[in-house]
Amino acid sequence: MRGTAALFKRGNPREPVPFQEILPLKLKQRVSGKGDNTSDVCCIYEMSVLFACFKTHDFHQAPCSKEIDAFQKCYLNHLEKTKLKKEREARGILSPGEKKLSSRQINILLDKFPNFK
Amino acid sequence: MAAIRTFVKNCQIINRNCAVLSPHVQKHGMSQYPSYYIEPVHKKEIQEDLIKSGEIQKLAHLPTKAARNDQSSSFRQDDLVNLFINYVMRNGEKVLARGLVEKAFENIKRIQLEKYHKCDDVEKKAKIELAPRVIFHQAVENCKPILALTPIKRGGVRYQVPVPITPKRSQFLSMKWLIEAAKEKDATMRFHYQLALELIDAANNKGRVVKRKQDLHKQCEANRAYAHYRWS
Amino acid sequence: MIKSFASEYIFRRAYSVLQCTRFSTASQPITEPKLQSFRSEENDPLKHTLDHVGQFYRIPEEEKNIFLYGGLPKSFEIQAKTFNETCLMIRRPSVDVINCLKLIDYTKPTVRFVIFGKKGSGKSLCLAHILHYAHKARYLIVHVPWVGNWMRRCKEISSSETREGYIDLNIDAAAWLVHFKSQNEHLLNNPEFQISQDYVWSKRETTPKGSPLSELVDHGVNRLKYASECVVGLAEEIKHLSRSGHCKTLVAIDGFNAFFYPHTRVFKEKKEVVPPNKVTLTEAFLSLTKFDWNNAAIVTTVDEIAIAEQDHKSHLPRYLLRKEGFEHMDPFIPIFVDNYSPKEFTSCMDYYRERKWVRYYPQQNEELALLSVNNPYNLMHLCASL
Repeated sequence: MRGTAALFKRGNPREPVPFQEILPLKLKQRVSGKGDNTSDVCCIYEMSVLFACFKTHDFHQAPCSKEIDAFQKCYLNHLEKTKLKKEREARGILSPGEKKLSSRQINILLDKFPNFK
Repeated sequence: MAAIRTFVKNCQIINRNCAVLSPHVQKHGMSQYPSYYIEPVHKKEIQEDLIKSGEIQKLAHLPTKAARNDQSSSFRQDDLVNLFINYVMRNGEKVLARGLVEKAFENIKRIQLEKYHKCDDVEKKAKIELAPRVIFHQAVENCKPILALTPIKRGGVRYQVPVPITPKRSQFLSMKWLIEAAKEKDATMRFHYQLALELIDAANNKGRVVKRKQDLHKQCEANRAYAHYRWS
Repeated sequence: MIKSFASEYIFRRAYSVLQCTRFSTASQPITEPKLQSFRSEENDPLKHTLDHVGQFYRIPEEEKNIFLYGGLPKSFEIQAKTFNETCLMIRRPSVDVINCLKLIDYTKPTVRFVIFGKKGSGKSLCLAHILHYAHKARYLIVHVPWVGNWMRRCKEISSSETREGYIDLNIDAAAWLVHFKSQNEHLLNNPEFQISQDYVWSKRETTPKGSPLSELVDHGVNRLKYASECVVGLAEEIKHLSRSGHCKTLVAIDGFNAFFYPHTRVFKEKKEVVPPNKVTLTEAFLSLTKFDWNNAAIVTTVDEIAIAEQDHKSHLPRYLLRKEGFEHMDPFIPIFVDNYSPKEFTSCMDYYRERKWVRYYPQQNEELALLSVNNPYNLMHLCASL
């Protein structure tokens, strides 16, 4: 037992570890789409207005119809916008001067202008 | 060795074929119709519109799917009621589900007619709604929630976060709650009778289901501080 | 093209509003077609003629008592309660029978009618109309609401003490006596209704000759044990009274073919099936339907529903009554109750609309006529959810 413990003891070995190239040392020609999920928060203001109205009217809907409509409209707008955006990104349409690019768009760019080999 | 090699080859062939087939299979799933078959137009109003606008000429010679057995050209056909029947249905027993909903409508009529005959005041009498479908539509409309709570994990804690919901989801929740409320009853009471009572109550903006919706809204209001959590 | 969410939502809302207005009762009586004269002014069945066919007449509240202990089908009773009135449609078969009843020579042996027709075509309600007529015309009514209740859903059985091998249905017999009494209350007080012979029930209990008929009935109601015997005795007494001309009698039996269907659900202790001719009640009513007496008329219905379901093969009297029953009834006048004619159908739909039972929508009558095949019962069911 003691022998094995000695084997696993920490500390610098005398020889430096020789470097092994497990993966090729160069950038890939594409990026993954993992970091694309953006925040889904929307309509916070409308929601707070709605809650205020609900509270004053004891959660009856009839007097708050205006607020409800505004809130629902906001959410539907948001859905439509995200949907359109997704579509555009999926198709990979590039518009000049765009600051934030989706993974798809970057991949298209990388295809056109590959990394230096 | 040779056997393994042929096996691998076969696998490759299958894989290649699958790659060709897969978009086709995914697109149509288990449908018995090829992709170029169009959906039937079973509603009379829409048919008339098509005839008026002349678009019927285009559709006339296209291969068309057969109408499903709950799609008819009758004027009493109602999409929302059909959907509701499907929600009531368990284990594919559609005939039973349809019978239950129809009986619930019958009960609504009986209950409302009894009220109607008891009422002496002419003005009040005219106000009593007797059409079961109108009551049903009103009930579903009144039970629709605007927000819902969804659990989101932040730092190991689950927060109930109020989120807006789509119209379709809110309609589904409303009908689901109605069905659940009707199922929560004494053993001696029949489902269709309880459903009729719930529908009438909900149409008058009273009852358990409307209360459930309001409770949900109250909870959403209590948890409004978490509203800015959500996906990210 | 992908439809945007917002427009879809708006469309759906607009559509639901549209539908609401389409089905609403409160706000649109204008589009409904004008109601025709589906309601008869004549509420007295004595005056119903073929001109009234297809119209509805109302049974007055005080005369509804003849159906107090049965006589109207249950689904019809529920309907009547919802509609807040009891209305019967005057139909050709019942008017035919009533006309016959008016014209019959009552000195001749009894005339027998057999009403038949498909399931749900209105045989029982036809009989109810005839009963109402008989009540108005002051007949002595001997009415069996549904023979199937005895042969297929009997309450209690016991073997008869006086007859070897016979079975008594005591509770059913007593219930029928109560029914008989309530239907003929106004006649039973007649002092001429006397018993023609002594009835000895046991050592202590006898009903002597000359005592009023109601005493016999009361005895059966009070002493359950002798109820079946009472019914048999009563049948003989009624025949005797009619022969002697004290009263005119109408025998009305619904589901008459159950008396001839061998597979009843009356079981002895060892689960042996009792054939109907071994039930004491059968004796009484088969004797009443014979033609060996006069001053009476006999109206029976034969119905598939009165027998077991596996034998629902035909609605015709020869099949339902079997050889035995057919020979028993022969000669009889067959009365066929058909499905609604177009006129009756529109009248019925108008009545439903007037009672606010169905909402009008375009081509409603045509659609429902096709779906229900003009069958009254089917129509009632189809209209239930509209």
